Amino acid sequence: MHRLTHIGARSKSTLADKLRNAVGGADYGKSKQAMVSGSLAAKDENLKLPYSQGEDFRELYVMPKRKLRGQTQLEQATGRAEIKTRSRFDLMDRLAERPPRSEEMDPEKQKWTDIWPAARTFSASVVPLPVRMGSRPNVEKRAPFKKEGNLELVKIPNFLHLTPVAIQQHCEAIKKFCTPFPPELLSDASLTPSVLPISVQYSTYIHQGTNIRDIRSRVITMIVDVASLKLSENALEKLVRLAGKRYNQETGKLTIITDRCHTRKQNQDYAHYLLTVLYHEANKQEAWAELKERSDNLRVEFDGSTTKSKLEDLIEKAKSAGLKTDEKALAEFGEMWKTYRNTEETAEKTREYGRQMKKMLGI
Amino acid sequence: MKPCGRLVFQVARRMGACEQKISSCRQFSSEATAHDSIKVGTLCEMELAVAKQLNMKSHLPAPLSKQMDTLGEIVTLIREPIAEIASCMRVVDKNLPNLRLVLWGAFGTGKTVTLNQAVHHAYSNKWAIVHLRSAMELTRRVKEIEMSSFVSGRINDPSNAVAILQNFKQQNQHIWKILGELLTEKDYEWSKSERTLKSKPITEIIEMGISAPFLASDCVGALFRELRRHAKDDKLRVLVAIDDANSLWGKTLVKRADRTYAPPSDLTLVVHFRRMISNDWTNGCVLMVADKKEVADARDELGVSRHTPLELFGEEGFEFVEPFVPIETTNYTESETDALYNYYVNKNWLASKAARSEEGRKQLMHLSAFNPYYYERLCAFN
Amino acid sequence: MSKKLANFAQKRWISSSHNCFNMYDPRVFREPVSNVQELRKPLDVDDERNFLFLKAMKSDATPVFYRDSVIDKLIRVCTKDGEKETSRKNVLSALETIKRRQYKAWAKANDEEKKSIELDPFVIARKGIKNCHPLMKLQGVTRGGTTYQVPFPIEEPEAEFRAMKMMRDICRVRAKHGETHFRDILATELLAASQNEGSTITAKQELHKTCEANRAYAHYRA
Repeated sequence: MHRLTHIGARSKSTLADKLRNAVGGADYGKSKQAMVSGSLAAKDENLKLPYSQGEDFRELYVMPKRKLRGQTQLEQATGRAEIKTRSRFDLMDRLAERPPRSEEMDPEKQKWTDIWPAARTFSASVVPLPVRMGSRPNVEKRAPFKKEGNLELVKIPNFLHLTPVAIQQHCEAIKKFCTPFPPELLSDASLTPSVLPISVQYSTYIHQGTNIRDIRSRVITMIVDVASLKLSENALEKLVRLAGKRYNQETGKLTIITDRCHTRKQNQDYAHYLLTVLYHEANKQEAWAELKERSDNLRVEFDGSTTKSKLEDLIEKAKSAGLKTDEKALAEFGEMWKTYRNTEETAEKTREYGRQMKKMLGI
Repeated sequence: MKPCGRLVFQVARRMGACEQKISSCRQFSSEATAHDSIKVGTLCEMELAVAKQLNMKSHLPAPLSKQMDTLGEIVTLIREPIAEIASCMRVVDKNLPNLRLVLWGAFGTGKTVTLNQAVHHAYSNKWAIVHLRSAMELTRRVKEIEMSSFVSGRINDPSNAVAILQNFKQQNQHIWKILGELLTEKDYEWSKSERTLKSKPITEIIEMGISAPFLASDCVGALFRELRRHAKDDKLRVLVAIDDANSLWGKTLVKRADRTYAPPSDLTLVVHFRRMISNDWTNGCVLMVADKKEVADARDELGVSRHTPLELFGEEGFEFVEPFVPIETTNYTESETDALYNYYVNKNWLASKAARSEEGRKQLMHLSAFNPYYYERLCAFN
Repeated sequence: MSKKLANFAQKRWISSSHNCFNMYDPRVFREPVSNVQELRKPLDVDDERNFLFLKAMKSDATPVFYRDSVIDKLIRVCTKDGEKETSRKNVLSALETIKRRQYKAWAKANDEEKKSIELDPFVIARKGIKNCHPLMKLQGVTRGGTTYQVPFPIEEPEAEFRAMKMMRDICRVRAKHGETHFRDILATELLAASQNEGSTITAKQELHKTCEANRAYAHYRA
């Protein structure tokens, strides 16, 4: 019913006329109107309905608030369509993303020590250097890989936390807790053994991989200056015999290398223990040490050797035979003989031996 | 390079006082003077007859022995070592214990040659000569062994003992009569049947040993004892020349019954030679050569052994041999090489034109690095 | 390889294996100087060797005064199992033996004969090898299932090699019996060859006879 009233109102409009005209002329829809208005309304003359006096049914054309399909298709065909651009789905994420920190750094305003205060794995966005790392089959053709996403740079240890400025800062910070290194020790190397007689050496190992352990880092080398132990002559000889190859005659150093325990600390304790035991054992005097003979000596002595007695005999007889012998030369010869027998034999030493022998015998 | 000139002059000054001479020295250098008998830097010829008597063919090193055969003469350079030895030999006295000299030096510098020159020198001065070609023969080239009946545990070497006695006989022909006059001090009972009575000439011991190999080792010992005794009594002077002497304290290849290697002190001949070296007799000179052959291992490609006496003799040997005078043999100097070069050219031994040129002369010196052995080898095929 | 043979190889399908790969980069390396006189002269300022490397000098190309190409080649031919040092020792000992024998003969001879006796072992060895040079070689050519021994012409270097090889093989066979040494037999052979006597000369003459006998097959040389 409502519809019918609306239709009635609309049909008076010029647009309706226009459309009617556009579609089918002035007569279009009139007979229909008569039909549509219904038999009752058309027949009833008393009713004062707009369409009851034989008017056309005014159709209502409802237009959507958009371009109709026909129009859009026309526009698309002719190429005058309005192309609407849609925004990206990750637009908000991308807006949230910032440029690398290295681009925003200012050397004037910032300090590197604040940016990289401690040792940390390499971060390409933070380090402002144009570092490249990587190998490739043809060296000439390609540059090494850039730092962004470069695992090799991450795997290796970096020392960016140890710039000279950083080190200086550290030193300045702890300076008040330190005393200066004795200048006498720096200038005179011979003082070191007496002041610092023991030196302990060990190594740490770094690996390219997930495993940071290395079994070799447990090895301890302890070098002791034996003179600082202040042993008596017998005790020193006993220590030398006990130590064997660990004692170096020329430098007077005892080197103990331990790796028999699992950790470095244990090995260090063991080394200290060995030194203690050696020291105390060396100072002990056993009863059987009295039985030591000339052939047991570590070094060959001239006094008491058969050579000396033979030489004395020879010199006496040479004198009686008339050769110009030199008896004082015997002591000198004894010294030379000791070095000859106890140190490395060389051609020059043998020549010296010959010269002294001839001088002594007067040949 | 040693400053040869100055040393030559010093040596020459000392030589001036000597009366002993080296026989028939055909001087090859322009500085030869009549009264200086041993002039260092000259070439000296050994007469072939003498060389034959002294059995030089087997005692000299192989290349020189071949030269003797080809050129028909033995000509060697007189160098400092032989001059030193000659001066030491002059010192020998009946009151003085035997003077021990050890020739040492690098390979090819003339130790064996000097030894042979000294033997020749002893010959010309009418000394008795006990010359052992190589002590290595006693320890390592033992063909057959016998256990000693004289001392239990000792090992006799009949073939080597016979060779020693024959060599002694041949080399001492020049004093055979004198040896015939020397008499034994006691009865020697070699075995149940053979004996040499007291106061018989010692030449009989030699004949006994040569005829009966199984007694030879003991004969050697007896002969040496008699020689020492007569030397003490100033009847004769003895030169004991042992090549490769350090082998007397070295490695042996003689196996005992229990299949272990016998130490050198278990071999009779080694014991006899050690007694000859020892200090207890007078009026003699012991000349030994310390050779690297004993110690050097051909299979050890990396190690280089020293050629110094202590290294070669070992501690035990060194203490036995002490006190001794070490005499070093060195490489040639330029003047020595020149003398030798001129000799070869004159003899027509350097055949190729390139070798006779100045370039060749210089190259020969330097290619051989002034080493006498390698110089001779280079000259051999040029 | 000689030019002639290379040419021949190009025309015929014979392998002319050249060295295809050299460890010494030809852009960077040059030959060393073997002549002592040239070595002592200073290099020209513009000379490219001021800026390039030199190849290592071979042990048998050192500029010693006794350098002889024939003897060096003989040493190489007599090398066995790569032991060139042993071969060198043998050949030089052989030269020494030749010299000793000639010297003994020379010492015994009277003045007239002395002039004719050659003492230089290098000269004798060269002459001996030269006398052993074959003038032709036999190469097997297969036609229709049968291999014919066809005489071919021979170049100087190859003739020299064949002479040395013949001598070496003869000496090796004779030296097998323990007492005799290769160096002494080689010395005898070289000495005999320089007088146109000896087994190597005989072997060469046999080869010539066979070549003469097979001259009918010469038309297979294609």
